[in-house]
Amino acid sequence: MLRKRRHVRDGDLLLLASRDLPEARALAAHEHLARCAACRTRLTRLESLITTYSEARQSALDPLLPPSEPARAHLRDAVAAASSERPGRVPGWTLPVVLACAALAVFAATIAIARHSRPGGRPPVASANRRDVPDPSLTPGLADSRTRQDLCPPAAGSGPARVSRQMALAVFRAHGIPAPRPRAYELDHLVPPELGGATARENLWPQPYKGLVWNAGAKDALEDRLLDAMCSGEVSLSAAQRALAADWVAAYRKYFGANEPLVEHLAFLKDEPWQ
Amino acid sequence: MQARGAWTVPGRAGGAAVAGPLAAAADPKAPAVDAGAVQREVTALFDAHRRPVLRYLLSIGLAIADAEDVAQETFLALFNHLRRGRPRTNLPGWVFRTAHNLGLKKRRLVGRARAASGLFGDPRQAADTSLDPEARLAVAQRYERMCAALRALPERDRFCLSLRAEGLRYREIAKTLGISLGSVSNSMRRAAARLQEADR
Repeated sequence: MLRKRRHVRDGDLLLLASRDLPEARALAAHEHLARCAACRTRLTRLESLITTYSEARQSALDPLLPPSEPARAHLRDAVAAASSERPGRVPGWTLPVVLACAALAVFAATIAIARHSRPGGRPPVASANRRDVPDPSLTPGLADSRTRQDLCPPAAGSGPARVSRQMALAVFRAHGIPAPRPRAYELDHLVPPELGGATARENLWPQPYKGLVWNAGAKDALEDRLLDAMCSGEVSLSAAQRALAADWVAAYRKYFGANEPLVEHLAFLKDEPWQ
Repeated sequence: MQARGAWTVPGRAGGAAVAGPLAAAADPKAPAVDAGAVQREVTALFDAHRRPVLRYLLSIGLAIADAEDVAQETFLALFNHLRRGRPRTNLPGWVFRTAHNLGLKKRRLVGRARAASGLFGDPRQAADTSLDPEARLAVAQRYERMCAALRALPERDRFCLSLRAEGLRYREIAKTLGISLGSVSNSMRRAAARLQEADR
């Protein structure tokens, strides 16, 4: 299908960078960005303007802020006063239950804060309805018998591993997609062939371009990063494979030290969409 | 290609729980009734968000003392919110929304006259001496140049940019200000254009 090539407007680029663009428009924008260097440059430029502003603002304003300890103590007193307005004594038998709830609440809060301590932090996504990682019962990941010596240095221009149409459709069916829309998915090797991943149903999953927080671009960037790390001896082959198979989003966060996909990875597309 | 058989991912073998720390977290819907736990939670949120909130309040035109008052009010309101078992989804967003509303109220109360000096905070009043005066001045001047470029914009555009600079996503900004995502995007486009001019 031919799509009229229109540049992505600044407003949409900004929304895209914060993962807030509605799905249909995000899909179109990604397709365009993958082919338009001018728009990619504009995206980077817009983000860097805001980052620069944010940094200048912090370094200018932070020295103005009063120390936190007195404010903290003040808040503690105010909170204590507010608590005593309604003492809320609990009957003896509920105490263990309440304590357990309290411990869990504090634990949850700690996680929420850790997630939010970086700019642009996102609340955690429940793993049950995550679409950014495959269902482990369908796609546990599968490696073939190649070793590090077979894989390093990476062979240039070996091209993507071919997946037969029959196998592709079987994978789509297994994942509950009987009639896949062309160009809406990448048929992704969970462990990529260049890291010893097998071309088998256990290692293939339809990675949607929709729901773009953690998209194919980010995963491709991670695969390249892990391949470098593996060939340079920073990680073992099996560790790289396990990282991708267990939770590639967590691996991305670890290896790029970023809570969310980096802007420059949004339009990083190595593998072709399935069609 | 010959497969060596599915290698098992740690934690998934034999149907063992895959639960990471997140899966073990508390049910977010469970109302927190214990004041002590809520108190600790509020303190943690205070530690994590006080500075961004204060910066935001300075940038909407409050003087430092007023900004500090509003921040206190905000986190006390957070305590009451949690103690009553109210929804706890996206608490940082809740904090900014409340700070924004209380901040504007405060600004109306103290009047523009007092607030004006702190339109974007006055970096020259800095009490902190970690930077030498010259470096501080350079940073201050750069920030002032940007602020000067932004001054011509509608206030809403500046609110959007400020919230983005403090790390909110556009969706959260839309909620905080009670406007549509499209309006946020338009505001940000105008703000970015201004910043680009100032940067030249």
